Amino acid sequence: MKESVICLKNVWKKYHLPNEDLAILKGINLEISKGSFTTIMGPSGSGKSTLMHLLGLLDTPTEGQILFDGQDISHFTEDDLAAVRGKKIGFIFQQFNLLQNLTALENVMLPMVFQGKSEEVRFKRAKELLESVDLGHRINHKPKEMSGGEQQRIAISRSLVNDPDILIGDEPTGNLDSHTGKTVMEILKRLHEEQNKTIIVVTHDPGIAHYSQNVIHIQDGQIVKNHFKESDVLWAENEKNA
Amino acid sequence: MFFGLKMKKMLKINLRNLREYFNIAVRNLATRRVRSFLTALGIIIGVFLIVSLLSLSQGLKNAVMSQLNMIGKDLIFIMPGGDMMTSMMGGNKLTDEDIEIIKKTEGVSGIAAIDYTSVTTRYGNTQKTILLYGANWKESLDILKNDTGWSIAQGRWPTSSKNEVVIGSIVASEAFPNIKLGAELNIEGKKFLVVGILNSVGSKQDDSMIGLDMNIFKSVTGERKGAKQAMAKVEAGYSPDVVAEKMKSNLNENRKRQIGQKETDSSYTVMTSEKTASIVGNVMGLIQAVIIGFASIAIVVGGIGIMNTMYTSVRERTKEIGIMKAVGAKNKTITTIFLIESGIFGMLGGVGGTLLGIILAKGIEIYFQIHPLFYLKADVGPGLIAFSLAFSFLVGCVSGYLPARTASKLKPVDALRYE
Repeated sequence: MKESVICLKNVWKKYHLPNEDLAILKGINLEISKGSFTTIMGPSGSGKSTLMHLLGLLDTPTEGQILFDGQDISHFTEDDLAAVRGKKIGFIFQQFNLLQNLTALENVMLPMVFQGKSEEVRFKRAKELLESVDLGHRINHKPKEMSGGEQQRIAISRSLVNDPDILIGDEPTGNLDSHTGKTVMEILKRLHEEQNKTIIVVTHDPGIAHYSQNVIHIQDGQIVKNHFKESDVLWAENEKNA
Repeated sequence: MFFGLKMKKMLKINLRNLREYFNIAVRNLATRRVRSFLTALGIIIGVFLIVSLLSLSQGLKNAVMSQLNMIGKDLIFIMPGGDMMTSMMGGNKLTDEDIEIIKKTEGVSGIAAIDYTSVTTRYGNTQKTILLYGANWKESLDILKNDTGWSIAQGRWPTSSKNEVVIGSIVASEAFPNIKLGAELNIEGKKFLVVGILNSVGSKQDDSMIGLDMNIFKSVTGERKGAKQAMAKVEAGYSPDVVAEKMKSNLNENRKRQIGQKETDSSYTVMTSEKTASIVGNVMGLIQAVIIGFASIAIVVGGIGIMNTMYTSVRERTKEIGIMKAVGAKNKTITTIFLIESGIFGMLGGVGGTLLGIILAKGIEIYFQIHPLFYLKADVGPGLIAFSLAFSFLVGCVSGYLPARTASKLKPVDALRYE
């Protein structure tokens, strides 16, 4: 077994409602190993987004333990978590989540600002990344002047700018047509293969599973299947046909 | 540990980042121009009030104080009536006997008694109503010249036996332009020779008068006795306060004897020049305090406007805050960005208000140069400007603090979900 980067031990996430506690995640045990490509699938309301937020350290569990690089993060402050996110995790969202006031270049440079990188370093790195996704000619455009595919490529550049170990995609192809979606997935695949990034993608699109090594199925807050690629794709296809 | 940075390095990073945060803040304000302008306007109005009113009142104070300072410190003013107001408005007069008493009070070295009234004056074909000052030149000249700053620009002082007058600088420049030494004025039907033109003493009233000898004044105007006010000079070695007390009690005793009133303590106003200056200074100070008070309320209201805008902005940008946190922004970073924004509101308001305030103050100054009712020079000191800018910036930051804290406290996951 490879070294794990994120490890969830009996993780619960509950919300307090007036009359009862609503459990979104119910005792999740999960290990994401270094350099793996994982897809998390499940119907809406299954808790997969909540799981994604926990894996990305955007949220903390109600119960249970999360080990990140071997460290228990349950005692981390908000700022500690922000520091880990900034350095170690890159996010790619369904809505792209770019800052509309900033240009493509500035959006990509933003995470480096929070890491205190100098202007020259920021500019060089961001420009390089945008060029690598064929946006070198549009670095000074604002997001709203660009297509969905272009915006998602900016977002990918942004996620990579601090050279994180882990990339987390939350329905990264959800707002893209199938062709553009495929381009985005190819980029992720290349990052996985060439730079050995750990990649976690949350989706309800079974097609995504083709790119990954293992697929985790979640339903009603519990992991129902944790498969390696070959068998899981079959399973997913079957599900689709059923 | 990867977040165990050394303080020194962090400080350096913070300074470098401040420029970036400033950039982000400016972008945010620029995308909502109208709202940003209206928000800043609240502060602009308050600062505008402070700068314009304070600089004008300070200018007024300077003008009054400089006139008072021209007056020697060893003078005592005597006016009939109990307080400054009634003695200036009322028709009470000091009698010749009063003036004798003042003269004889121990420690008084000289006296200048002045009577005045408005008269119709004609020069050539122009006819004007002008204030006529009567003074006993022989007695008064010393005090008028040395202690109240009267001085001859051209010609000489009038003699007591002839129909001769001196004219104030405004009379020469405005009432009767082109008037020259040796010109003939017709005052209440009698002919007078202009023998002197005075320099400006810096008071509209004193500069627009015609002065002549007391005896001739009485014959021209029909005023029989006494004077409207008197100034007594205190001999060296005597305390003006003590002499003034003595003088007042002498005057009151005499009046009591004459009329037999039981309570006459308030029949005269006897004040030293120092006391007068301090009263005027206090009154002006009070006026300024009131101005600062009211204008500060305006600025505080502007600050509430900033707070309102910032809260709205935090709500609108909840998702943005979530994004920034997701990509590594710490709470302090978010606080800083929002504080910079509200600080900019305060600063813009301060700069705008100061500029408008200076423009208005200078405008009024120019107006009074063209229409000299009195001499007013707006006093816009660096202290006033620094105070306005610092105060408005501070109000901006204070108003922005709570919204900024609200923004920084948002949980990244909740902020990201916000639509």
